[in-house]
Amino acid sequence: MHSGKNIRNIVALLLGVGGAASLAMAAESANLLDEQVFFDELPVVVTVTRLPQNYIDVPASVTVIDRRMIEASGVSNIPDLLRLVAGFQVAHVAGNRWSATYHGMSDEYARRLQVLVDGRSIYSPDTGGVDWANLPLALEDIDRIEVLRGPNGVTYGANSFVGVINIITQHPSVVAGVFAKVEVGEREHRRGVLRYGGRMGDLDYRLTLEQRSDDGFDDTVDKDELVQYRDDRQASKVTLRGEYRAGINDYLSMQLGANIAANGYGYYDDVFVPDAVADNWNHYQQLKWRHVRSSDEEFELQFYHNYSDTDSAYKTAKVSELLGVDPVLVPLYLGVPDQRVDVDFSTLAERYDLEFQHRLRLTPALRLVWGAEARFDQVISEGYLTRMEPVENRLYRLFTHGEWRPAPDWLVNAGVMAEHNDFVETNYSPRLSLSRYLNSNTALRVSYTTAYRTPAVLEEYADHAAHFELDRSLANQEWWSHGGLDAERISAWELGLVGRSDTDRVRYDLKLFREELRDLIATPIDLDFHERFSSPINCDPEYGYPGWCQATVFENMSYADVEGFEAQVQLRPEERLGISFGFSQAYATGWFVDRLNPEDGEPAWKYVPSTTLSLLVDHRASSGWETSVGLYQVSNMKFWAEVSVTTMDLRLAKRFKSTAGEGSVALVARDIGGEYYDFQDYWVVTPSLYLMLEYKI
Amino acid sequence: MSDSGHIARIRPFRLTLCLGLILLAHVSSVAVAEELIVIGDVKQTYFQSFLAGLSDDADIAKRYGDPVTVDIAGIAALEKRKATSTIVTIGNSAARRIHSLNKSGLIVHALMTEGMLDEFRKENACIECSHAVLLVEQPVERYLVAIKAALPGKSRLGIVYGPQSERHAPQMHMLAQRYGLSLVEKNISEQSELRVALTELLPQVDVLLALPDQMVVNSDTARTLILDTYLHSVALVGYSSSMVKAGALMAIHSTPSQLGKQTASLLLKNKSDASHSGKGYIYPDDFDVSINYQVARVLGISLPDEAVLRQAVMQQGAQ
Repeated sequence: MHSGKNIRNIVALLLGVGGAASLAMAAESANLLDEQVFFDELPVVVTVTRLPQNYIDVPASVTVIDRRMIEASGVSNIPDLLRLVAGFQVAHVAGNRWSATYHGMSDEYARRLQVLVDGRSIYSPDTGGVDWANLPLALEDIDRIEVLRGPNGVTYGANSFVGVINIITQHPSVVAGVFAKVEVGEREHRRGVLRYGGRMGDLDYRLTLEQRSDDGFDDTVDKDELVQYRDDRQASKVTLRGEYRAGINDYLSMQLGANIAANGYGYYDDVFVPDAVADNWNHYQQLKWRHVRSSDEEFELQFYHNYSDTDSAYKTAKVSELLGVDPVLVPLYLGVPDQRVDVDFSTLAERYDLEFQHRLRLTPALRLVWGAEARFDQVISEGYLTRMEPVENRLYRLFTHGEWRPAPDWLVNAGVMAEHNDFVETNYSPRLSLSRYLNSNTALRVSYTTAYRTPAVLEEYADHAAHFELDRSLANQEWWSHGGLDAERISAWELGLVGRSDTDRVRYDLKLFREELRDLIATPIDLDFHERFSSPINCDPEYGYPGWCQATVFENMSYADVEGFEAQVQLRPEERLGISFGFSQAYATGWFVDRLNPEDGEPAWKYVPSTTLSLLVDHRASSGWETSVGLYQVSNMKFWAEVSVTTMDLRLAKRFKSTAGEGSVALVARDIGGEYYDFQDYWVVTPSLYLMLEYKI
Repeated sequence: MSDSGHIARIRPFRLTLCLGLILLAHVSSVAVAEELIVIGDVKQTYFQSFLAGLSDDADIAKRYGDPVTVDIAGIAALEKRKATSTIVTIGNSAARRIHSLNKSGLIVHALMTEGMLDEFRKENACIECSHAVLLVEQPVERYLVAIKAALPGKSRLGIVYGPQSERHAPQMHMLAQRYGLSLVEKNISEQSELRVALTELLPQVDVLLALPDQMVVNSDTARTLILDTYLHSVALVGYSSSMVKAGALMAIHSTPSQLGKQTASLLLKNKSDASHSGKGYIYPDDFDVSINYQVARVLGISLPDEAVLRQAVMQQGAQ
């Protein structure tokens, strides 16, 4: 029995040792480098822009806002980041709306910028502007923003009139794991972000949820009257991005996103524009296939669909209240019973877009990109267009751009885009740029380009009117367009100096520029508007209400010449310290028509700020403390009111690590320079405090 | 008797003699030709390229004729082969399988890795003591010579070690000092740690050297490595041409054909002179320098022609 037990013990021991040895051998095999590693193929990695170029080779002025700058700025809204770009102005139309523009000349619908998110154009076909508030995109998902300052129709087509904003989101593989962020702040500001990044085989994906709400601006006093504008908002957003490596050099990118929002507008206790809510539901789908044949050649095919449905309508008080008269007099004045007036801004806009692109190197000195695009835009808006049937615009583009090095110290960039659409037929946008390298890190650049902006649906087909609620007859014409507008046109010359230090810790881009803007679509108020009226409204100013016979119209009547100097400098003297400086000095001549019958206007210089400045300094200590200061200044310019802005933001944060992950807590003080308005003189931005907590596992 | 009659009598004899000599020569050549067996994964492209480089050598063809190729899966049949066959193994698996058969005779283990040598040593088998070993890896010093020759202004070197490459750390410390490079190192034990390691390391370096390590460099991590180094304006130097094609700045590597030619030289030297480095195994003599000029342009780096740089590395390495 003893021998049997011993045998069992020996067998158990041998099994245990053998098992351990097997495990050890398996572990060792896993650590053993195999010769095949030296001959395996690896997937070719493509780099950033449409035609990957050295910073110094790009034929335009470019500002890059990277992830570090995004965090250091302490902002909670994407358009606020654009203040960091030389020559940009960002205005708060209200607490829940923004207008971002380059070199001024804008109103609440800044519509001369092309804005892309991972290659998908997001400007609205109805207004031509960007609905920043309802954009399904979390700030935390942005990897960087590349801003091309100047016309870029040759590469990105219509609406790339004064510049292009290229928002690039983070690749899912970079944000693997769980991330959560919470913000609380003044005016009931609440924002939460939850993101998960994961992997299934060759598919990397990230899912982001965002929920936010706030009360908008504080009430203000205008001409001794309390102004209680409703600009609160609530929004829920979800985005999904998947990156699938279909083969060794084939990449499939899929994105989905949706946004549900309720944005307040109007005035509390107001008879004309009472407080109301604009409900927005928008979503998008995007599919992109990229095939990389080699580091010198690749193809790309992209399809996307944007959909936006805004339900926004309200009723005014009764006409007697609007006019301040006894109700029995309303039929006498207007020929209609006393009743309320319906105003409708509801709009449904859709875009379908298919684009093909081919990049290749023809010779060691010549690279080329060419492509084609087809787009279908559709807008349905009974309120804005007074028609139920959709307005459609089909667009077709062919483009090509080449980079040629005739000699080691010279670089030529040349390209052209031909674009045809239903509104303005065919236009050609060329560019020619010549760079001379002073050394390997510095280049002098001279360039010329032309771009066009097709009228937006609203500009071409506007028929926005208020109607009496009882019989839907016309109460007042708000906007009107006779159609047949020409495309706006811009020609731009630049003389630039771009360079960087040997260590790449300093980058600078300086330029002298001149822009000629022609056929700008003005929005003057026609003081004697009769074209649409067939109602019994009496337009005689002696008897009628003067405002009834006025309407905002759309005409190619304005023009401007803008010239000046711009500088964008980014420094990292050491890894812990970052400095970004943007400066623009601009002089404008020209004329902006703002009245008809009789015609009148204002000089263009009123709409172009002479000076725009931004400075962001951030420091990251090894102890985990981070501090940053942002200074922003815009000299006199006119949006709706004449504005001038000087403001400062501060951010203090502490990073921490735990066994599970890492995070940070930050205190942000915005606009601590004092109250100011940057769009209309009674929508005032006030100092505010925010607390942010984020954690990732 | 006439001359034509004399000639008529001699011709048949000369003819027979010539034919006999020819036959004898043929039989002799057949009799002295040795068998060369090349063992490896015959489906792999590098196997075929290696074989082409090996067979290209005229002396090899004369001595061995056409090599016999044997797939690893059919290696058991070799036990029946005559013991005097000359054997060339390609790769770690073939080396291990042949070792288990305990064959004698002339054997050259080509395209082995240093890690495989260590494995044998752990089993008390000094494979390089009795056979010639041609490694597939470059000597790590060659990478530093190339970096100094190509990127003279860049002195901050970074390396991320995985479990297969951490063995080089002590030698790297010494070499970095010798070549005046400041060294920043990170170690990872899981692939998921790579990104954090790069985030911490890249801001501190000008050049990232990717040593052969399947945890650090593979089809999953390639994008991270190449994009992150690009975005930090760090030059990525690697060990294979596919890394350069994928987006690395430069690589030092030996092609299978070059290794085949060097194996041919080993065979002809009869292995007795196998020691190049004094350790019983040898590194590749011949190598290529591959450069991605597009990446170089984007990084603002001016590099000479690949052949010029290769020559410079060879000359500096010989000093």
